[in-house]
Amino acid sequence: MAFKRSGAVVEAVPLEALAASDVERRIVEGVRKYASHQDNWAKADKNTPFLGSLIGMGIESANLVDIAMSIERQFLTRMTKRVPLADDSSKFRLEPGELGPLMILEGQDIHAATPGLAVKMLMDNGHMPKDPAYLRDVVSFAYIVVVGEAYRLNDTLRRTLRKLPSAADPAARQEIAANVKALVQQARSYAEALTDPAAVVRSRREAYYWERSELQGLEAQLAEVTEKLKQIALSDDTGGADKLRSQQVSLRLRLNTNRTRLRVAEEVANHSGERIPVEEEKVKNVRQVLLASVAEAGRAMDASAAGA
Amino acid sequence: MSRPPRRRVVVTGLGVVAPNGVGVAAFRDALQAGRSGIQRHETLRENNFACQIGGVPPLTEEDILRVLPFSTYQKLSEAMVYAGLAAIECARSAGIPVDPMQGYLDSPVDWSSGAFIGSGLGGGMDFLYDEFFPILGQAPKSEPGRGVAAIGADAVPKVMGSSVSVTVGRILGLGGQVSTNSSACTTGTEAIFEGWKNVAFGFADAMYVGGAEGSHFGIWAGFDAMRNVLCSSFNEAPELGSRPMSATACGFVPGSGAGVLRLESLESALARDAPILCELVSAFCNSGGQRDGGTMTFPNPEGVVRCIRTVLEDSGIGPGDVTLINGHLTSTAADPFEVANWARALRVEPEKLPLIQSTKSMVGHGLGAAGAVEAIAVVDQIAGRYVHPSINCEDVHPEIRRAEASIPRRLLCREVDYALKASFGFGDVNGALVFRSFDGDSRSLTR
Repeated sequence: MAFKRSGAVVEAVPLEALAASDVERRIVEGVRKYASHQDNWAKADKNTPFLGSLIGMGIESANLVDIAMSIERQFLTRMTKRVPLADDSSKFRLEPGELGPLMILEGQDIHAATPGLAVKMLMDNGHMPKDPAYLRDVVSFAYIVVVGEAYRLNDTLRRTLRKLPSAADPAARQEIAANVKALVQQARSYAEALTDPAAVVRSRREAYYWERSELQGLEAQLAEVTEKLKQIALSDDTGGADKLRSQQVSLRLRLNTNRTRLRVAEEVANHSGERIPVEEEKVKNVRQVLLASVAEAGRAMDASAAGA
Repeated sequence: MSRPPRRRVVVTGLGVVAPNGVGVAAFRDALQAGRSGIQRHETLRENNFACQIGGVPPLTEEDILRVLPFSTYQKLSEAMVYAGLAAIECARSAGIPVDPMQGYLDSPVDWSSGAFIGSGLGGGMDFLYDEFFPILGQAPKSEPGRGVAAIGADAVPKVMGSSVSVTVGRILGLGGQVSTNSSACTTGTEAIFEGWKNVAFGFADAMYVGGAEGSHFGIWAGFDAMRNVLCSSFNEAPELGSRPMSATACGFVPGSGAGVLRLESLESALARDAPILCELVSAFCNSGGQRDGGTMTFPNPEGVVRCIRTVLEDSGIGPGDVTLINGHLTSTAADPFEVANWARALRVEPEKLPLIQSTKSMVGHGLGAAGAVEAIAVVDQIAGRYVHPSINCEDVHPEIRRAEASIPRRLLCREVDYALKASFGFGDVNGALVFRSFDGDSRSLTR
């Protein structure tokens, strides 16, 4: 009746029968419908981020779960036997069993920011054999984050710079110029830090420690609230108990988010030291881009000052 | 009813996705030629519907992907696609640049414009039926905690009531009020009323208004289940099935599509030298309370008459000023009552009615899209100085015979000064609009 949608019927194939590059290609195909930056998607390789539109495929964070599902739908695995975890029988790990549908357990895909890292995730979780030759060219999650942040900083600098010529009045021009100056300083520092892996590690470790202290603070608050709840349960203060329960739920939710952020920060801090050749190349490229933007900003600011 | 002074509102853009033409040019050609877009559909036959004909816009996926990026298209239900396409054409025709294929999320927000795009039933019915409910049905057998995961992260925007309006808001970057109304068959007309209020009383400089409806058989099923509501006698001759005002009308023919108009303050239109198609002089919506003869499916005549008279009085015009009536006129037993109500509302004998037509004769009943698609037909007739035929009523209903001379049976080339558009929907809700040709008089920007 209405226009027919050309949705592909996906037949799941056994991972054990596929080369890593085939798995990567299928993963990229599978996310096409979520990619708002179709040009980047069309040129995507193992190191193209799923998220972000600057260098990524433009998939929105709301569709992260769809990425995992599109991977699950496409593949069969032998890691299908469920073994309950000792400390929580409602959770389980997977061990080799009969060939069956792939399941990505919660938290396993947290670092699968690119098709290559998604393939690595499948390898790390035993769904397919490790392929060192393939992994040699996969940019780590740490450097996807580090390089991605550099591109975002560059984009912010360029957008702010674009506002300078059309500033409504001298006061607005001054404010924009101040913002540009601050961003130039940030971009220079970032580009400088990128030349030294140790400097990158240092700054990422600071970020990790900060996140960790946040998390510890929340855990302490949760422990306190939980203790108070135990006490109040012995009394008949139902209003007080309800309030504490709400606080407990809120803290648990915040903790879940913080734990995820901490895992990301930990991964970046731990792996931003040594660089493989492809990471060196990515860093070199983004430094060039950043420094070119810094130079252009300098020229624009000089011109603006001269014009004023 | 007295109203405060308000800004004059004009129509500066049109976009339409109709069963007999996608795009205003194709729609106009079909209207002028008296060409029906009603066809028989295999899906309806396979599902043993009594009525196996309907109006579906002739669109292919390739047509859509020339206008919308693949990733955007994937996130849209059928009605959302129609709304998006119509809105894009509307904006472009109003001189507003928009090209989703070049990327549009970086374009600036238009803080002075909003949208009221309604839908009756069709928001996401295709997605609900084809994907959502099958997954839901399997949920009890799924993994704990993952019962509905396969529905995907884009499900909610496809099924929420405001899906069609937020589609337009996103594509056009609208920063004014963006909302969806729903009032059954009056939806499209009511959306125009709501948008008109926003502009007239200064809440926005421009509003994209209209309605969209899908064509999934799930939308039409409820009507097919009601007795004598849908036309089941013309399955072998689909183009003859929609027969408003005919003696052999046997029920309405369901339709689908979208219509979007850009309403703008006269001041804003003049400031940016926009094309002005006509003026929307007045608008009103009311209800008959489902009393005094009104029911869920039949209007209270008093409510209808009040609605029409309100817009007439508000416009300061009399029946003699009206050139054209574009009625609700659905090809049901209600048609004779409607014609009588028009005569009563205008305080004229049926013989003295202005020209009275039904666009539904060619596109079927587009439900939530109807009022908007038909309003677009009205605006185009005013701007193009023509009156399209009301087809399939050679055998006029005996109770309408007195008004037979007012029914245009062929294309007329005619100046249309004031035109009335009205819709009357399930729930005994009514809407009426008064459009007027724009005479270029901009001495007063308010009424």
